Amino acid sequence: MSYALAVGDFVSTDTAKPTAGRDRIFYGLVLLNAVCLVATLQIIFLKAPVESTMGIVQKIFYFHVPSAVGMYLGAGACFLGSALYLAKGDLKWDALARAGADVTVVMGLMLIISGPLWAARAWGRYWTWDPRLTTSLLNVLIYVAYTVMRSFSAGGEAERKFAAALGILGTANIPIIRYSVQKWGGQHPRVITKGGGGLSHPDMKLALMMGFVTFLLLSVVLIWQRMRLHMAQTQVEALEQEALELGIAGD
Amino acid sequence: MPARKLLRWHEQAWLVFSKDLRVELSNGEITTTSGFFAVLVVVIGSLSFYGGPDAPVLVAPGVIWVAVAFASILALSRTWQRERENDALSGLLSLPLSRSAIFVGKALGVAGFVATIEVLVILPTLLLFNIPPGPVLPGLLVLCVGATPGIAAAGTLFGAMTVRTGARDLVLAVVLFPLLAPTLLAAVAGTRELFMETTQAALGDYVMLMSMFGFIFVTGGVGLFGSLIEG
Repeated sequence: MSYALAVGDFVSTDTAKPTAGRDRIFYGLVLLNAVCLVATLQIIFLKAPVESTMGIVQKIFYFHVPSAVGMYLGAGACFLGSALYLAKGDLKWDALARAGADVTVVMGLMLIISGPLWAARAWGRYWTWDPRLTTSLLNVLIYVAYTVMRSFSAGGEAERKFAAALGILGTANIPIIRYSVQKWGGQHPRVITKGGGGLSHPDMKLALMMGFVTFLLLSVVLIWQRMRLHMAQTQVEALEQEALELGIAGD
Repeated sequence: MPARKLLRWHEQAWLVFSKDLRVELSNGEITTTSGFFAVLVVVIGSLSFYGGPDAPVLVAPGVIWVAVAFASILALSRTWQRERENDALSGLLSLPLSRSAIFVGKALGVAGFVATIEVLVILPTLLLFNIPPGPVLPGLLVLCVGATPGIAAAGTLFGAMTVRTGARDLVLAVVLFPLLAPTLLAAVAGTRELFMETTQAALGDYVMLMSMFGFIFVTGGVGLFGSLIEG
C-alpha cells in the first residue's frame, strides 16, 4: 500500500493548514481585483475624455495594451512552471505551467481580437503583418497548441513532461520571434507608428495606468485560480486511482 | 549503465543513425511516400496559386516551404511509428547508449529525410514556375542547410511524444507547426529575396535567424530528450 500512502502524503501536504492563510491572500486579491476593475471601467468610460479623431473606438486601447502585458505574464508563468517541473518533478509546478498557458491563451485572444477592432478604425484595415502583430499571433498559437495538447491527452507523467518541453521551447522562442519578425518586417507595410493615438489628456494616462494594474492583477488571480483548479483535478484523479485500487470506486 | 562505455558518444549517435538508414534503405518507404506526397503538394500548390507570369517570384517560395513542412511531418511521424511498432523503442533504450546520442542519431535520420524532401520539392517547383535554376540553386542550398537542423531537432523531440504518450500524429502537427512557424517564415522570406534577385547579403541574416531557432531546438532536444523519453 505504498501508493496509497504516497497519495495520502500528497493530499495532506497540499490541502491542510497552510492553505488557510493562502486562501485568505487569494480571496483578498480577488476582492482587490474586483474593486480595481470597477474603478478602471469608471475611469475609462466616464472620466477619460473621448479622443477627438478616433472617437469612442480609442477606448479599446485601454484594454488592448494591458492584455498584452497579461499575455506575457502568463507565458512567463508557463515557462517558469515548465522548467521547475522538469527540474523538480513537483506537480504544483506543472499546474502553474498549465495555468500560465491558459491565461496566455485568454489574454492573447483578447489581444488579437481587440487589436483588429482598433486597427480597423485607426489604420483602415483589420490586419497587417506588422512585426508586433506577427509576434503576438505566433505566440498565441504556441500556447493554443499547448492547451490543445493538454486537453486531448491523458494526464500521465510523459504527457506532462512533453508539455513542459513545449512550454520551455515555446517561450524561449519569443524573444527571437520578436527580433526576427522585426527583421523581415521591412517587406510589409508598416502602418503602426506607436503612441496609440496620443494620450494627450492626463485622465487618459491615468486610465491606461489603471488598465495595467487591473490586468496584471487579473492575470495573477486567473493564474492562481487555474493553478488551484489543476491541483484539485490532479488530487481527484489520484484519489480515484486509489479508490480503484482499493476496490471501493463507484463505477 | 555499465561502468565502461563500449562506444564513444559520436559512435553511439552514428549507430542509431545508421540503424535508421539501414531500415530505410531496405524498403525506401519513407523517402518514396513522403517524397511523392511533397511533389503532390507542389503540384496542387502551383495549380491553386497560379496567378499569371508575375506570380512565380511571390508564390513559389511559399509552395516550396509549405510542401517541405507537410511532408516532413509525415516523414518524422513515420520514423517514430517504427519505434512504436513492436515496442522497438524499449529495445533501443535498453542498449547502453547515451540518451542524447539516441536523440542526435534519430535527428540525423530525420534531417536526412527532410533534406531528401527539400531536393524533391525544389526541383519540380523551379520547373513548374519557370524559374531558371542556375542562379538560385546555391542560395537555396544555403537556406536548406539553415532550415533543416531546426526542423529535424524540433520534429525529433516532439515526435517522441507519439511513442511515449497517447498523443498521436495530429497532436504532433498541432504542436510542431507553431514552433516551426518562425523557421518557415524566415525560409520563405529568404527564398523570396533570392528569387527577386535582390542583395545576396540579406540571405545571411535569414540563415543566421534559422540557425538561432535551430540552436534552441538542438540544445533543447539534447538537454531534454533524456528525461522525456524515460517517461
